[in-house]
Amino acid sequence: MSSQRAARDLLVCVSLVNLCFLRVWAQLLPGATPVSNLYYMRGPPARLHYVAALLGVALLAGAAWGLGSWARRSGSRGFENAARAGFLGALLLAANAVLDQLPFGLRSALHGNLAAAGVALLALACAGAAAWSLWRRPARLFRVAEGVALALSPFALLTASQAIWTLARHDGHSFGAAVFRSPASASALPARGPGSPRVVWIVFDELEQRAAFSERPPDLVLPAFDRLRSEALFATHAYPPAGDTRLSMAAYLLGLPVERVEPKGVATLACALEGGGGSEDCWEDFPNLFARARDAGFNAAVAGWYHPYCRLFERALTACAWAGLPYWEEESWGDSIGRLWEELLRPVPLVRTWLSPSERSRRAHLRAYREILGAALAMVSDPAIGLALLHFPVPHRPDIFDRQRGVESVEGRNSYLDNLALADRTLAALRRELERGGLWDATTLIVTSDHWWRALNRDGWGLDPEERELLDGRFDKRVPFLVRLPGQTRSQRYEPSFNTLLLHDLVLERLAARLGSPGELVAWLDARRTSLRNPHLQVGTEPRARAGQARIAAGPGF
Amino acid sequence: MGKPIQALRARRVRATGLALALLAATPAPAQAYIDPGSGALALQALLAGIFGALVLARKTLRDLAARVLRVRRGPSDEGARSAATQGDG
Repeated sequence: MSSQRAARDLLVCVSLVNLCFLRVWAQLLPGATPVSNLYYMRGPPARLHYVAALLGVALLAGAAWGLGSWARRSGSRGFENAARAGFLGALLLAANAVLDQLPFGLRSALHGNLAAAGVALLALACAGAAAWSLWRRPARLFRVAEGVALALSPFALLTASQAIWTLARHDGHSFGAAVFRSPASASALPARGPGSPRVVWIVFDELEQRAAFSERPPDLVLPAFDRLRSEALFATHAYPPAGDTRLSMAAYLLGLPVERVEPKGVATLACALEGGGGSEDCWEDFPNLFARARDAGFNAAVAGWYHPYCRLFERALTACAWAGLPYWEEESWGDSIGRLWEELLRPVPLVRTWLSPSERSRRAHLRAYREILGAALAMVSDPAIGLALLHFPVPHRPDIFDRQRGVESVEGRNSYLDNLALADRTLAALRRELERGGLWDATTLIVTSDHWWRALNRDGWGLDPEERELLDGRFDKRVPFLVRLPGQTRSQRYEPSFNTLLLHDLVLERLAARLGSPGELVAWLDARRTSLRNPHLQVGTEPRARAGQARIAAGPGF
Repeated sequence: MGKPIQALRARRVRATGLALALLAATPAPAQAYIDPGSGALALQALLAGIFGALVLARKTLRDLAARVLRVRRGPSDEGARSAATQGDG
């Protein structure tokens, strides 16, 4: 083989492997990262990922080139065919990665229902043409593919130089034009005296009413939830403001019916409200719950994940802990390489099915949970804090608990129900801490969720049999809603349906020392529930009970 | 006897390759919250691809340009120039 031919082959391999890494580059290179991703990042990607990606491209391209050359030299038709199949596979992975880079609008249109038929026809036509070409004139097809890869080889130089440039300028807190600085905290307000209102609002992400209460599987034991239900107002038909965290938490914190949101930067969220109106920076332009609580003289605190609470509300929070979504934060080479492989092989359906849910993502989720729990325990036992919002990343996937063994676990196969058991354990730990600090009977405790269980596939691994049995092909959009007023010892069941968006105002009412009895709370719910649209109400599920028909159960039976 | 078996094997390899290709061509599952791309890299790849294609096709482009220039000047112009060159010599 001539040296010119060898150099040409090497260039083809580098170009193709680099294209397969497109998803990786799109997240690591500041100029290519969608601005919406900045909102969820705690900081810029760690340095080692740049080195790993550069080495990954070089090593994989080298290996592909070496194997291809060897197959050609061997003279074996079988090896040559295998090399060609490998080349074709890499080409399709690359094509898939390129598709992912199309602007969001175009991608949505491609995936949208209207376009589905057209795209399917086009895909069939392309597949037919490729099949014909492969069948009749394979050599020509490979020549064309080689030519395309060769033409795109300057792109490899472009991505590599951007990666090296970003690595050289890496200072741990800036990422292109975005700067991730450590958020400050508001100064602590003077502590209020004993007897002052105090609210702890717990949001368990993706906690579902059906799984937790109404159709709980017999082998799932949730003693902390049951105990709380026996001494709190317990709504059976509470619906969240929206079907995802981004919208629901924004609605809760603004107290407004938020219809659409779009992250626009490190601490910027654009929002559109139902019925018109909105803002390009809704956290800045609308008053939020924490600012209102502070204006009323209360120290506010948050421990949560997803929304960058500490960056968003630094002027209103006296204590804050936030765990962002895992975004190339890993510090170990093993994790980095695992992440690269996942991104590389993401489009291959069989690989998706065979691989278990990534242990790496489960470890990151567990780390976030522990971080939030640690901060939450400190907040609930601090009498100076008047309002604490605790937004836990469970029972949201991935699974991080083994309920059979009663331990946190990122190995083996667990389910949504295991994470549900962890949510119960979390509630028990918070209660213990409140009781230990003598604050249990001075605190209004609210437990709810941001959205229902969406039964998403767990990294393509499918649903567990117990999950499938519980789901039974039906989405139940209800979420738990429990409010325990200070000193409350009896359960109160509330059956009419309502939008839990009213919690924003309920918290403010409690901080104003109003709605101190279950009866007042029921009357307030009756009055407020009809004034809010309930966009996720499932028609036909509402019980016959009408407003005012909430009944007080004697003791824990209900 | 050898040839039909070889042809059959080649077909199997092609069919397997095609099946793998179709599997791999299915879109990647959406990641729940992280947007996979802004379009900036696609644009960079397009521009780099155009540049690369121009470099690769430079010989063809040169030939084409030469042919176009020849057609524009016309055969008589070409003949006159050739005569002038000969005269100079």
